Amino acid sequence: MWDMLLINPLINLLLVFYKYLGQEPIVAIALLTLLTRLALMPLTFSQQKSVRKQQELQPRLKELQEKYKDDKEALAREQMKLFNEAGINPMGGCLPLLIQFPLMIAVYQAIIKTLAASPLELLALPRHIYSNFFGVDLGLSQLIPLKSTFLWLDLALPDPLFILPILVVFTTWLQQKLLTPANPAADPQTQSMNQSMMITMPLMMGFITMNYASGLGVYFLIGNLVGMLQYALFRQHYQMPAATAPETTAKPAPREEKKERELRRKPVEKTRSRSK
Amino acid sequence: MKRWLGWLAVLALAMLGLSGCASQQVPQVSWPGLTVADGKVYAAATTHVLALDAQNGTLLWQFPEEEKSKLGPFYATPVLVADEGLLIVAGFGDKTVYALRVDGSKPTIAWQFPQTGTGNGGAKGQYVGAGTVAEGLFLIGNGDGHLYALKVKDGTLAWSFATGDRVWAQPLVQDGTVYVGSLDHFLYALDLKSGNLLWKTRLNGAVATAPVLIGEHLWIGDFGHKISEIDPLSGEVLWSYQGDSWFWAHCAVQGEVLYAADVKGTVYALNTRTHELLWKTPEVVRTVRGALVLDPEGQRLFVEDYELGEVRAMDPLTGQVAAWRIRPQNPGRLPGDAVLAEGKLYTMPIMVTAKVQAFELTNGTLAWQYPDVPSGQ
Repeated sequence: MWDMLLINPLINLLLVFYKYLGQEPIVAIALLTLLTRLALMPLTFSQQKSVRKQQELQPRLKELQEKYKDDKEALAREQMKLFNEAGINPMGGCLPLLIQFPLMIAVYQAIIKTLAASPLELLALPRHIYSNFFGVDLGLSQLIPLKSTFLWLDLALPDPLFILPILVVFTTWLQQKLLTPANPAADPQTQSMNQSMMITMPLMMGFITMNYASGLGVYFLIGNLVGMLQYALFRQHYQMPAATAPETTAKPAPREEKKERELRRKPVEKTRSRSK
Repeated sequence: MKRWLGWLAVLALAMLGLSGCASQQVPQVSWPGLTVADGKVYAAATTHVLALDAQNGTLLWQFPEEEKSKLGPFYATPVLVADEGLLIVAGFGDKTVYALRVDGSKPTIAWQFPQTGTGNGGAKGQYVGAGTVAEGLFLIGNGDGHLYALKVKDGTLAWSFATGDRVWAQPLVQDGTVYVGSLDHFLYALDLKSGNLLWKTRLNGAVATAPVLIGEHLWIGDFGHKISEIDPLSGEVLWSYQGDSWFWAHCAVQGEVLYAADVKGTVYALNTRTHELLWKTPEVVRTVRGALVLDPEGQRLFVEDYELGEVRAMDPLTGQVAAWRIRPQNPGRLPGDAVLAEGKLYTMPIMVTAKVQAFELTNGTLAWQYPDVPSGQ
């Protein structure tokens, strides 16, 4: 089912790109990565928005935590109320990630299967290739094996010079840094978790790139670059709070600005009295 | 704490998903091959070369003797040069050809290519396809895109020929001409003595199998779903048949009938004189890579199922699949070529403890396996 719904279409899409875009695997991988990122853009934006809003609410959440430190039920209730007022789904940061995740894994698997580093891996490939697409023979089998060299890289093998892993580590770190900027208002636990993720994620991606096919590293690298571009677009669309991004000069979108103003006007006390 | 655990779970899932089917530089499995001669089975199995008694599977020797071996893993089938007392094997991972002197009680290295200490001059890629011996030369293709011709006596390079992609196909030698296919989609004809190109012909897809000679014409399958009939003198494609998927398994021949199987398990019988499709049986097995094998009487055609690790028998006249099948209790997978010799069918499964299995041709029962492990392992 996994193969039929995700892997096979992605492999065939990759082959079609390869066929019609100069038979350069790197171009095909880049385009596939770009398309999947674009397809996931609404989810990515929604996730980034949710994370931002939660960051904005951190001071008020902190106040609530202090106020209800002895009453966990009340704290949960008040937090939920606050989230509702701000129009935030507490799972809003996590759910889009969970939806994106299978697609990211599928793209990765499609690249690895298509590049097929060994004869045994190549043997598994024909089952994924469409002989015809709605009666049209696309001639994709004739493309196999794909040309896998690009500059110093054999895309089916790890980078012998370790340049790609270094680039992946750096761009992953940079993307993480942009997506989760330091938030002094966040509680220490969240801050420590963010800091830890800032180190763990890039290293993990670097480790994978170092040990597996460099075509995968190319996918990570392009994905990171597209992610940063998406973030730039997101920043243009959504104004960040002064506390977390004092340097921001871009004006918020009118609708967001109104919502924010309303939110800031509401004191925590009011929320408390209503809950009593 | 809960968020921490959540992130850890996501990371663990990522690692699992990413590493699940990732390719490593040197794969842990290969498709080992074997050859049977004079009551002995010579097998290139993962990282060792084994000599077994063909009657009962007793280990006669293994090379190297130590359990820890830097050889291989092997894809290429070993080639026995009986009159020289040599067994030639070629490694995938170590990119080296070894000629073992096997006429004594213990094997010794007669020569290797590249020679120890010279450092370069050897192949730069992996050996996948089997080699062929003809007129004192050992011919073998390599992942670096070359066909190498080594002198059987001392392993020195006689000549090499460059193609446009990996050479995974076994060469065929006929009347002083070498025919070899490459993943660059071409079939090449070379002069055996000099390695000079006589002609090359572009086929419909990558070529990873050896051609067969039927009558006066060559027949070969490719990854572009076609089986082509080729004039061996000019390289002209005389006729071709469009199949359903890649042709990777070596074809079997009986008289003027060609038996071929595509990787998706469809088996074809073609009359090579009339170009008539005699029969086509779809999905006999799930995946075919190993060579099709005919029994000496021409009564049964054996097809290996790579995924299920079993061997199916077919009627070569009708294409009907026989009810019985050779299915070991713990089958593993069968990517290599089965060999039929001395009344037994030999297979080399991967992903299981048993490295070599011998089955009685009469009823398909397991005669022996090496190592002899209890069923279920």
